[in-house]
Amino acid sequence: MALDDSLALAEAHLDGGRPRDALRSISVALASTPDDTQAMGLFVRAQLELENWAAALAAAQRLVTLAPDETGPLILLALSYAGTANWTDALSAGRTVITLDPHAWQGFTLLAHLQVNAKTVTDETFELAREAIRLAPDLAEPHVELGNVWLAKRKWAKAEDCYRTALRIDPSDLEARNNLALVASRRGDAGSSAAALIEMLAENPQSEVALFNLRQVAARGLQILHLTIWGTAIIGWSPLNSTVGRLLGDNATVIAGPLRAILAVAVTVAIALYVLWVRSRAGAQFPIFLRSIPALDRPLVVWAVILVPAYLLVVAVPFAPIGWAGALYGSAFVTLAVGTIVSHRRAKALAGSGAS
Amino acid sequence: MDTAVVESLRRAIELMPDDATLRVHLGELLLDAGNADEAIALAASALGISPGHAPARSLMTRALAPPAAPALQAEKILPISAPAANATFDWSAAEGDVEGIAQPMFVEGDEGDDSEGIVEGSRTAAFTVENSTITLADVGGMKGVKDRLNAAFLAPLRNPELRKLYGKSLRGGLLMYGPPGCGKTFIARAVAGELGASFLSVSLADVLDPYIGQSERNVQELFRVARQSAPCVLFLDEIDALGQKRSALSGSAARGTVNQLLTELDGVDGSNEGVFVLAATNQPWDIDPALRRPGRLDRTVLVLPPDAPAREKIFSYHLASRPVEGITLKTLVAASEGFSGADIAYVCEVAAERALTESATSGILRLINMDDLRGALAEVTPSTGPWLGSARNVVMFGEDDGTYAELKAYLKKSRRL
Repeated sequence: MALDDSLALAEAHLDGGRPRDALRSISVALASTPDDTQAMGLFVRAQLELENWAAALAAAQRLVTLAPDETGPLILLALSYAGTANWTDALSAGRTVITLDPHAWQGFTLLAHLQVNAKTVTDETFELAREAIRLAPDLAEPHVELGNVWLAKRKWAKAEDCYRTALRIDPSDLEARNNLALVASRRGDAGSSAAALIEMLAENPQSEVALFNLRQVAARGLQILHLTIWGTAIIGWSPLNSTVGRLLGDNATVIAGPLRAILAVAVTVAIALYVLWVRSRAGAQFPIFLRSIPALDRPLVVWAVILVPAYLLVVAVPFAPIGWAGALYGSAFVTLAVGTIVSHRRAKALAGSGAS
Repeated sequence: MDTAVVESLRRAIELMPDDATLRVHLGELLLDAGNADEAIALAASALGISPGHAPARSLMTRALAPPAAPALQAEKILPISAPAANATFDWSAAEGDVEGIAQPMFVEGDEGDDSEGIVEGSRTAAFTVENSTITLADVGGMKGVKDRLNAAFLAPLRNPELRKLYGKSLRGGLLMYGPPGCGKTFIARAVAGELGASFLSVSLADVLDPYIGQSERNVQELFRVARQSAPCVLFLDEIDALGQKRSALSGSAARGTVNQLLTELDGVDGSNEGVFVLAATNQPWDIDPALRRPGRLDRTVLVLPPDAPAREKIFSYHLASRPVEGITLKTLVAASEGFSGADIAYVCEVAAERALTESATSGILRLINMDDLRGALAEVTPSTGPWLGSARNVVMFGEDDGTYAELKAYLKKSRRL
């Protein structure tokens, strides 16, 4: 196969999200022309997609020595440094890209992206992202990057605006779709977030990011339920507390019963309203969301199962014989504590495996 | 022969031992340099990795062919002297000898006329039409797949009267999808053999061209060749690469290729009568939806990892040419549930390596036995796992419109859903 054909095939594979197939074609090209900068550039791109950071960095460094005045190799070098968490060199390479070509939007987007990922968002980051939009207002990527900057600053509404603008330009932009779902999740709208992520997964079943985020959305929802039951149990138990009992005096026994009955009703209504709200926001994807969780995340299922007896214990108190309140609340606290341990262990296990 | 290139390829093969294409590439270079023996070995190892690899088969055929007689006889070198007065020289014959070696210096005619000559800057892809000698009887097990192929494809083709009676259309093609290495290409060849049709296998590498518009021309040429060779089974391998979702290709030149493929499947430029389109993919969810609509690739067959009878046949095939003793095929079959055909080939390869290493170390030749194969089975992980993980997501999150009904049923049966 001719060199041009190999490289065209490799580029087609990379555009199609098949980096391993691309590497096969690139290796044929590099075998015959090891200093071909185009082949080397494709090689670095493939390694970056495969997250082989060390290999990408070594190749990018070589590529830059072959073509020191071109911005493409420097961009790849910056991304490779970022992959190895060498933010100093990544940012330096990013600045060099802008110096070499101050009229190209890619440099500004790149530097903003690196600053967001290095968690060093400053006013300069906003300026860089806005300059990229000024240079290329009709492309989605600069708008996505500005959205990411707002996301890093926890300005949900502004981030959402940027992602929606990006999607108007390019409805298939995966990053914009994913991050829009993230914004919904951070705002507490688990239903919309889940629906968006499920639609992404229907089109891109291999998207590990969307899958990870979907599990996190489910976890956030459970966290809300968990905290609601905790709060109810603590308030319901409070008249039994010696300090609160002293403060309330004789009123403690008088208000305890009605208080616990009201709490039992309130927590049930609150949980029901929350579930109905999530269902209304998720729409047709709600049953898929519920069905998918047991298959995807068993610790979440364990956690959810643990919350059921905790809830039942809390709402059973008004109906239990007098004197049982302490035991019931105690059991609820123990159950909720076990749920907390399960959720923390799950979070720890996931911490190293995924990124939003 | 450029030894630097050969060495580079050898190194590349060491780094990527499962790449059949690299081995074929090196084999071709060695064959051109006259080293047929090594070319045969490379072709054999490439076929071991990928039994249906067409370039590897072509290399093997060429390497095994007897060397051609030299086209030119060595000319006797005449001493330089004045020509004899009555000597005659046949200039016409001499012109005929060099005709076609070099193009004339100046040409006339329309530069855009690409019907016969080569227009500068364009290239015409070459597609090789083969005749398949295998049939579905050669495909072990996989009764479900064979029944589905029969119902959707073969029976209507073989029974035109019944087809007319039931109003069954022949338009459209068949899409085979499933985990990699489970025999989709082999089955496509078997279908061609079953129909007695020519077989034309194409992948992205055969169609893609760096020049703008040339990929589309290649697709057009492909269908022209298929129509000329009718009856012909046109097999589009890795259709997810050829016909990827256009929404994922915004800005890419490959969009035009997809559009041309859609046009050709519709038979706009020529009737597809006698052209039976089969396509194969590991990622059906990446295919452009327009390719799946009625009249195009509207029928699907799920090709799963081989069942027990198929695995027995595959083990038998890969062990038949090796020195073995005491092999219990039933035990191997039971222990290889979920293995693809390529995995089983690799298991046999690993077992052979163990025996070979031990023989080389001890100096005593020994046969491959069940211990070698059990060890290899323990070492090799089925490659179908990641595919089934993605497939589960498709079934769980995708629209339940029946597209993946077969897959859903399989995942439920295997408790993956």
